[in-house]
Amino acid sequence: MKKLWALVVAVLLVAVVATGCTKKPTSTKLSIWAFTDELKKVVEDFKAKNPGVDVAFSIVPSEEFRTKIRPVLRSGTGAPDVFLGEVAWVRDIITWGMWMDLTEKYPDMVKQYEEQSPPYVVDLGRDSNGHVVAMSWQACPGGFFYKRSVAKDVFGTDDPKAIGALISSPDKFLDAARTLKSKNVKILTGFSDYQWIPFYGREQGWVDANNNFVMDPVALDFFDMAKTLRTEDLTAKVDQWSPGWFGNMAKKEVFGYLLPTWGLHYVIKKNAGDTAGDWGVTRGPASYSWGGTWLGIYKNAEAEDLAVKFVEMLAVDAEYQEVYTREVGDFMSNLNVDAKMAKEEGDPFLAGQNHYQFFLEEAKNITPGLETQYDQNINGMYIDAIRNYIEGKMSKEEAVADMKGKIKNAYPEINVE
Amino acid sequence: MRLRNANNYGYLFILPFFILFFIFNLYPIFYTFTLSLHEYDGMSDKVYIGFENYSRLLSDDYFWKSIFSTWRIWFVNIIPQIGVALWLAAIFTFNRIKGQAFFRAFFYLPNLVTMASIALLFNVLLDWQNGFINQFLVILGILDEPINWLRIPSASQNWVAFIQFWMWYGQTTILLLAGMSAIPTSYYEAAIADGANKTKIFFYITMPLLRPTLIYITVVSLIGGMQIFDIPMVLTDGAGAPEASLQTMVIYLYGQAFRFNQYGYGSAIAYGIFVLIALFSFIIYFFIHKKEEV
Repeated sequence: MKKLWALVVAVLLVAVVATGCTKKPTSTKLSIWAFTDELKKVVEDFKAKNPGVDVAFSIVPSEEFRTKIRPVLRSGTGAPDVFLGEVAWVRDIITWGMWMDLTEKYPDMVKQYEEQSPPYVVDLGRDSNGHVVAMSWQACPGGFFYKRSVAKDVFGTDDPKAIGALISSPDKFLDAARTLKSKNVKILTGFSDYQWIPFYGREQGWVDANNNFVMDPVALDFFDMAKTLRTEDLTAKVDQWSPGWFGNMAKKEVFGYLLPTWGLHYVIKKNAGDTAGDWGVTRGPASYSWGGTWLGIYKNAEAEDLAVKFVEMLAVDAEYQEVYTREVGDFMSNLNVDAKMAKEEGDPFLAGQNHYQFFLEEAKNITPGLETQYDQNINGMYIDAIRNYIEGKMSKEEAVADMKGKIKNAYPEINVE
Repeated sequence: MRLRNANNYGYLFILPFFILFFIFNLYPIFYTFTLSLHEYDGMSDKVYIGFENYSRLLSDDYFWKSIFSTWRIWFVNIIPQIGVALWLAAIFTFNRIKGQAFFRAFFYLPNLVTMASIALLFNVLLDWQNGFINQFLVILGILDEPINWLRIPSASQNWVAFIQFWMWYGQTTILLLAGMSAIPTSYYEAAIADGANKTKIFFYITMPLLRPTLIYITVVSLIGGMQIFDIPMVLTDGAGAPEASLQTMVIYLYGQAFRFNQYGYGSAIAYGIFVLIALFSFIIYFFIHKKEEV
């Protein structure tokens, strides 16, 4: 009897090991967690390409995304196969080590991605070993979008090159703002629109390799520039994303917006009203990037095969990227696709200017390695510190000290002197 | 024997409540305490650090400031809230007013909307350049220039207090009305026979007999007020701006635990808040109770 039991146990053990070895059957259900509905269309396209596959697509707002997904990933139950990361916190998610090492598991796909995408976009998805764990389908260099008719009235030209030359440094930008103000036009809706220029003008991100907090001189200079913009009344004093910020897009009282690639089709086009066709885009005082979304595969994904297919289709496949950009207008991470689009006719919304051409140049100029895992919160504290200064509540030193205190309290692991 | 059996059925019926209570209330309460003795970021393993989080809490200026802000918001809200509610309840009780039911429902209405929606609404109303409130005051000539309300610490706190007041005075009025109508009319008749006027009746009969209701309202409002979260969260940046004036105790807890991933310290803050609320409730209870005995 004992022997019989031993045999049964042995057989069962072998069976367990054997099933572990056999290849998983092809999955039929892919689950994705996202924070924007941008991907809805992609999901539909993916389903059309893969008949019989079902996709569970959940949207969790960006601010809560990490809080919600963290316990799910830690426990492993109900974890999605694919989940997204936004530039402001993608570095944080990477430190969790929950995304699959794609360089190791799918080297060919990663190689192709590395060859065709801007290095700064690829770098943002690398882990501490330099391996790619997340990929993006877009690159988000920014520009200065302005109203051509206002440019003609005030500066006598609406040529992007000429306008770009007028605002090619912070000082020139302020001079242009003063000229505009004399004609009752504000250069920007609010000072915080400008924040990404100093962000990418820095030499070092908020925290260096030794975990020291760094306040770059460029970031400090922006305190003064913001103060000038406020005291000389050069902006419309309206916050980003407030109703007034959107509203000013259709009005001639505000000259322009510092927005990246997605700003054109997701923000300006939707709010431009009668000013459609009256827009141009040029470089501001410096090249910068704003936003971007990365895709990664959960390291224990159940539907790994589908997850890889999905990520590959969106982030690597040139054919699909072209289809996508023709419909949406997004600037893709595959620079070959962008180069192809750059040769075509321009966008009537921009009076025939081809924004792919412009962004293709900008994508080359972006300083890599400035993003840290703390950006979402520290950026917020930084803008709040500038507000405290320009509203006259604190001196610059007090505002910076206040910001440092908050960082120390929020992240005891960062050395703040 | 039979009787005892009958009693046991009772336990069976209240069992579901206790099961749910143990799983969703009691267990988290103990788990939070365990967490508060650890350093835990939600991802890596917990590290036991004893009462370090609590000693940090005691010397944490941000926490003390959050207590002050929470109190200030509650205080500015509760005084006018009870005042107005008393006044309205007295009017309804001592006068015959047509459409009383309508008014009661009308005053209660703000309470039916979710707090977050109201906060969002006020965020738009209070907008610096384009907000209705500023534009209205400028058109009326009360203001020369729009005020950036939500960047001024005291103004932000007062607006939160106002929203709280506006949402809750209807509820308080209804509770006070119930309290007032429970006072036997014979007391009033006796007072009138003795020649007391309306003011005297109100202060010497209504108010003393209303004390239990007032204690209840104040303590419940205090417990809710100390936990205020939704409105300051949505009204400004969710991090307590301007200058931490809207960083209430629970906003601070949320920030430390969920924005900065210090779950251990966040749990210690939760226990700190619990102790403070219990303490304040007792103080208020005894304060009002003692007066009654005098």
